[in-house]
Amino acid sequence: MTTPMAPLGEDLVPTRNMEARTRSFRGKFVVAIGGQAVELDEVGALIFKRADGSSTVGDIARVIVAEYAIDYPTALTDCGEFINDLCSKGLMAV
Amino acid sequence: MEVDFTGCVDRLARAGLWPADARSVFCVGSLARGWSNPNSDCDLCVVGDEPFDHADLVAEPVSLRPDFVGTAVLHVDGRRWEIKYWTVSQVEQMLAKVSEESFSAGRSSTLTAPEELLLERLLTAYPIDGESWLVDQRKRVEESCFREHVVTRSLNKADGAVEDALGCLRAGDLYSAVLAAQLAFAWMVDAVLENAGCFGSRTRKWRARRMLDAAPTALPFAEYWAMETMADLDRENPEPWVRAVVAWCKKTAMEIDI
Repeated sequence: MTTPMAPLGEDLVPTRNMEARTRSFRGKFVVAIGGQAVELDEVGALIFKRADGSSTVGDIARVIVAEYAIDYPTALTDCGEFINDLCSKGLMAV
Repeated sequence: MEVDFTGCVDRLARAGLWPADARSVFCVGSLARGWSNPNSDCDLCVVGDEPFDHADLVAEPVSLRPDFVGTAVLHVDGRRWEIKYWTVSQVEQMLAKVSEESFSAGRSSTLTAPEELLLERLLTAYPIDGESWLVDQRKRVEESCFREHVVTRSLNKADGAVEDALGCLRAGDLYSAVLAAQLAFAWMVDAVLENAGCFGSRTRKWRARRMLDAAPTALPFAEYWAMETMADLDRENPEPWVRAVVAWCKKTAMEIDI
């Protein structure tokens, strides 16, 4: 697995880091690893939860389109940037 | 109730085991929850104003003042009665540990096993004498952050065990990885049950009974029992089972809203 920084292709399959700890606490969703904690918003939490090693970036983007009524190219770009960010923090890999 | 508690207070008094300042006595554990069998102990709790002093008491340490809870044993009609003696002040201290104020400030203190047992058992206790005191304390536990406290504890334990299991896999120590995955699963099931308000993680033999009672949608009983009994474990190649348990634990943790 790699930790990409370039834009993600829609066929890539992101996977959560199994050693990341998650807590859903009174409406907040927090992901932590190695002493670093990140609070995710609703869309971020959706992406993280869907990154189970079976859904592609495109699959996740299509869920965002359905849930939040935004266009697919925008969802794909946002989703890719977010996954890149979490990969750089060691919370996810593709 | 399988045991007739008529005359219970008199029986304790005749044995010198009834404190003059007792506020309440109640039955807890498997008998109170309707899960007992013919060999089950009858667990009683007596709460008084002052620490009860009796030569036959065995002291168990707690992180409270006073720092012990005394236990007496009595045999009644062929059944072993185990009676724990708490003080009102100790109950107050336990409730303070799991108060909203303490929890939201991140200052929740650890509950020792006897303390956690008492708080969760207040919720399912069968009153024998002093019912109004018991009802008041039960309401206070329900309104406290006891649920949040124990769920957080169980999730932390499950996370730790998951990390152990993955570390053991990386080191090629498959036996330890299996045992760590078992622990992770146990703690995560406890977290699911506690989040559903079904407590009792300190007495693990009742986990299946708790699953049947709570019937959490996050884990159907058949799926639970297959994982609990390691039905899919290949002893020659346990890694897939370990990874499946780890994946279930992580997925489930994300769905528990504390």
